[in-house]
Amino acid sequence: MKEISDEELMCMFQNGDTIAFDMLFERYKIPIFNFIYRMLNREKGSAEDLLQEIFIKIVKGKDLYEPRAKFSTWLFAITRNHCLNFLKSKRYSEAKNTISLDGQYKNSKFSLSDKLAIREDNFRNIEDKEMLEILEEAVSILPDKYREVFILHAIEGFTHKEISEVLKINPATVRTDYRRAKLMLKEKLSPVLKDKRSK
Amino acid sequence: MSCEKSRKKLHVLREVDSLINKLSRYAPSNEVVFKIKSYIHGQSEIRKRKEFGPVLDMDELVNFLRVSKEIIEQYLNDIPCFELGGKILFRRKSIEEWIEKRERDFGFQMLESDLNKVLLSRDFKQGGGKWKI
Repeated sequence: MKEISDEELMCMFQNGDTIAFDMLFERYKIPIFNFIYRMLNREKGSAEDLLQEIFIKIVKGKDLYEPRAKFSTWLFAITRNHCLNFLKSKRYSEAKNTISLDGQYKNSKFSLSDKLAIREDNFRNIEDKEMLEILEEAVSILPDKYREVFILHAIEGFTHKEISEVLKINPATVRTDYRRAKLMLKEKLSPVLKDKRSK
Repeated sequence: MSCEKSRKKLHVLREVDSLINKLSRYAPSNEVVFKIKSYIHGQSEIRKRKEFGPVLDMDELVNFLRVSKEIIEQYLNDIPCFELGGKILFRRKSIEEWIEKRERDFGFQMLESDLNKVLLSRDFKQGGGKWKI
């Protein structure tokens, strides 16, 4: 039996079939959560809150979807805008708090370079798992613009063309942004990798 | 030499690539999935603030304070709560009083940091400007 396409399911939902949207939610809950989770620097609580908000937004705004657009592109565009708005308001309130509370929040999290410095003596024991953790941290400090392209391509498996539709930018820009993101990651990871190899 | 350099660079890039392929995928908790699903089927609405009763459970407090469960757990030593039948419950009135206390503390911190700014300012240290003593 041929699988029903996302667009057909969404049309069914627009006509009142909630089971159709349930199926869509099942298909997309993990990719969307992964995107939000990494965009929000791996804060699980906020990521889950945002996941709820996004699906509530979609259920409420189901009539705004036009079947000629690809469903996944539409969904990720909404998710991405929602994440960026959240990050913007969070950074604004954090900046406000940092000024008024004399850096009480500023020092709450170690930066990547601090962590690398702490681990400098322990490179010998770095296993794959730890390397992945360092990579995750490096991803979380990429600028938003590069991070979203990186997550969509490397983790969600979107093609450059699909990403260009989500972000409404040129596919060539997507390609360059992805390459730059990877080079930034390489730069962050190369001291650790070099050290690992020399041992 | 330059050939050796680019070979090394390529090697690092390959290692980064293989690490990227190993990045794991995370799933939302079942609790959240269930909440969204019941919302999709129209079985639940997001609770409005005024609908809360005099005693709140953890989920209600999450909606009441509009923060995540993790944050509440982090502050659990500080938030007034009680246990009944293995469940942690919160009295709405106590929570409101606790919020008021936090508001006051936050106000004090702001005042203190403003004062610190004045004391640490260059003009004040040098005994110049309008702060001259």
